Amino acid sequence: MKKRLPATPYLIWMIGFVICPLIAIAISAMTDKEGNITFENIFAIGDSINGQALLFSLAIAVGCTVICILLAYPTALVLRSMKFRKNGFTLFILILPMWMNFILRILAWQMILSKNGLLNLLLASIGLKPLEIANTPVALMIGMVYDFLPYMIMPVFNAISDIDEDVIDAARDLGAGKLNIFKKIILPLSIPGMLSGIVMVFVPAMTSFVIADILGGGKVQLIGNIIEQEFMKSMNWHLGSGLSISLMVMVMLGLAFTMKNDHGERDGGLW
Amino acid sequence: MGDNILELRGITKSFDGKKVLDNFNLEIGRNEFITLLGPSGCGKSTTLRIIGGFVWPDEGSVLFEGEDITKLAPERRNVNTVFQKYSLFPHMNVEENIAFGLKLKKKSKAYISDKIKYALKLVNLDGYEKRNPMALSGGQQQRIAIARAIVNEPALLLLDEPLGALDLKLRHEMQNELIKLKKELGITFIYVTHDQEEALTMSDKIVVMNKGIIQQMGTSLSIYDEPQNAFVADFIGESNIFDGIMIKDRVVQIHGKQIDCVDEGFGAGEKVDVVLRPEDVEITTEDKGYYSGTVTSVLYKGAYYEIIVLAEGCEWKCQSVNAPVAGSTVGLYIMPDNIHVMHKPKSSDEEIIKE
Amino acid sequence: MVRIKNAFAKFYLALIILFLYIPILVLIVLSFNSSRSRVVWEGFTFEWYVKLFSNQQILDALQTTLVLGLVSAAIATIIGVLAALGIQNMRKNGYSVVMSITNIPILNADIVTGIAMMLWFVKFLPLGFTSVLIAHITFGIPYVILSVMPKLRGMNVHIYEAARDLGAGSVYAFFKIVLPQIASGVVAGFFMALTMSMDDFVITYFTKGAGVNTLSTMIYGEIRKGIKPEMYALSTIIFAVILVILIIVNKMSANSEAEHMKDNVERVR
Repeated sequence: MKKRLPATPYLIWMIGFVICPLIAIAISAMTDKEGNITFENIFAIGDSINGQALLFSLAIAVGCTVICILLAYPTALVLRSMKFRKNGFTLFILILPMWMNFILRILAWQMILSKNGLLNLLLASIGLKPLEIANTPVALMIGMVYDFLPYMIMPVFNAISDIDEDVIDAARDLGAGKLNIFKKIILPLSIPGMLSGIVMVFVPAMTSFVIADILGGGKVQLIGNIIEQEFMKSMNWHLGSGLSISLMVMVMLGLAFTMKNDHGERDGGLW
Repeated sequence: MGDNILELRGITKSFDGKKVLDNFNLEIGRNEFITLLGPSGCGKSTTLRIIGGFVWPDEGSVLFEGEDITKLAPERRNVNTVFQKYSLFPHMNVEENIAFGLKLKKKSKAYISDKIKYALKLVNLDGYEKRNPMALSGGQQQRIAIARAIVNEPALLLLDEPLGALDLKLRHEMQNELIKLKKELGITFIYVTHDQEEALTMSDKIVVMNKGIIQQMGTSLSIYDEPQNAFVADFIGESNIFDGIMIKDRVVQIHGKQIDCVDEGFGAGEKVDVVLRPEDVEITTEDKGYYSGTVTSVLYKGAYYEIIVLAEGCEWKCQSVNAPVAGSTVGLYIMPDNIHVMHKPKSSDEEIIKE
Repeated sequence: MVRIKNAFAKFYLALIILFLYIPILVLIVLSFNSSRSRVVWEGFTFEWYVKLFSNQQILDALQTTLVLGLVSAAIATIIGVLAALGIQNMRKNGYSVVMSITNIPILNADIVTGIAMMLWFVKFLPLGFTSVLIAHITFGIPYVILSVMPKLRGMNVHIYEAARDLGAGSVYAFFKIVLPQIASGVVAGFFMALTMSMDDFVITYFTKGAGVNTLSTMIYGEIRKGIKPEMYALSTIIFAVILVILIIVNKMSANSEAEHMKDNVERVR
């Protein structure tokens, strides 16, 4: 009994500043300005404008997550093959960019991708036509993949580097070539890492508003932008809360579904 | 193609500039149980990994059934390994683990399920098909690893310290089971261990290794009774090793006393190592012994007493079923054919053996 | 064949690293650019580095960011280490409930966390430095717990009991025996909390109210007007300082690990 005591301040803190705020936002979402109970704000996510933004956010988030997996997986394999340790160089390389201010880094991408930006200067110098990706979903996607990629590389690399070399040797010993080792050993064993990567990328991608604000040039509206405006511009906090709660519930359901799927697969035997 | 299933010829291998194997030669006969025995770092595991195909030698060749397989990938060899840490696939159940190699060989479903049943029966784990291997005990995991290897019907089974992680009782059980298994399968076993007792119990032939060189090769009996050098004598069982001088054939001088022995062919006056097994040093009365000394400790070991006697400025390890009184003065006697005389190492290469 | 594949692997890794670092390079170059324009290079200058130190507004935001980061990380570390010690001793049910709560701030969307806290804070606290500090501590604690827990789990519990057996009080035993064992996890947790605090924009943005600015919120407010080049200079300085610190720490831990390895090898012999 006594040994659990040190966790008390933490529990009080988390109830005070994690649980209570969630209750506060739920209450705000379910009431109107007069304090009457209503579910209008929660269902407002289905309105044409909000619904469209939601679907668009979903598409962007799924795309961003898929691209991150496609980029991160080979990176993790390369890092393993080069025998990098889990906590040394790799963590260093991935954490370091976070110390350049996040908003400045996104602004830098704006400078790189803008009409007269570095990318087009570079293309012009080798005689290619300039690209017009500034203020488009493509620019937004580049910014998001850039910002979230480390969160995918990290867990995937951890999972892959946790695979014992002996297990791979055992598979070779039993007749598995390179392709089969990947398909039957490395891939299934890295799925838990990939899942945490998906959580770490999908949630912020789905709910971000800053990147869209800067790289979308106001033309691209994500659900995050709409919620932010309800709070900071339209000052309709109840509507903003309602949209937030709906978004949160949807994201959680999506994640629960992903996790459950994985579980089912494992029970059924992956190969 | 002779009667050898495997030949290693002139294998040399270095890691980071350090020679692990040096011009290593070994022939392994069909249906043998051969054990590579030595302290850690002696090159025994590297030898096994070269046979398995996980490591390529810098020089030399590996012949399997007379065919050169030196640079053949492990997945193409008719050889299977039981790994030290079991190395079961954690995301597959027992059945899937065992079926792994057979599925890759595209065997029929019926064949695979028959094989799994047969193999599990062989390792005494019938009914464990659907279990998660990570939830099994170390001994059970080890059996699954063995089952997983043998269903592929390898001509050669490599076992890399497979019992190293098990406790003593389980280890003895598994030793007996491995011998039984070997008889039933009728294939060649190459076994790696640093445990001399394990080697002596199980093997048809033991290869004692140190510093990448074979120190001695032979049956358990010949290695224990006739160690060829001080390293082998020291590594296999307990022994007293003293400096001696060969006076003439059949007479050796130890601690200033000339004693009868059975060894011949040494030069007169040659400096030699003399190995005396503790059970061969007889404790007797002062007048009957070559040496007299004081008993400094007597420990009861179950079937016998281990006695330390201080004589001629050295500690002598002795074993006896009768316990002398600690502090008493006793005589020490050795029968001539229990004295093992060996050449001192000459080259520096051999010198490191002694250490 | 192997060599070509190796070269390709290295090339791929280099591309990924380039992708992660190219915006940083751009910002560093801009901090030395004498033009106020964003992309045109007009010559090398230290002007912005000099001007930086007379820009009170930026210096204020820097101070807020640093104080916020260090204080929130320190408090989060204390609460988090204690929490990890307690959670370690919980039974299965309590353990999984508490760990789920711990994961909320990490898993939940920043925007929802920020808004929820704002809605809660306005009920009893004027938004300002204090509210931001509480928010940062809250999302920092889970990182500390998650860094410390594996170390605690890997620790031999008997050495704590041995210390108590030899007469150490629980507080003394904690500082002398437990803390040194989990020190690397504690430092890593502190550092993660600090990094997250310094890098955060969204939660700060919703909980700060008027008047308080961190570097992030200040930059965000200036986007439409145009970013002052001093900001690039400041970011470059921060980046360089952290780079040096991380290199030193990495070297030190690599060295101690090498020593450790050597010891182990010796012992085996």
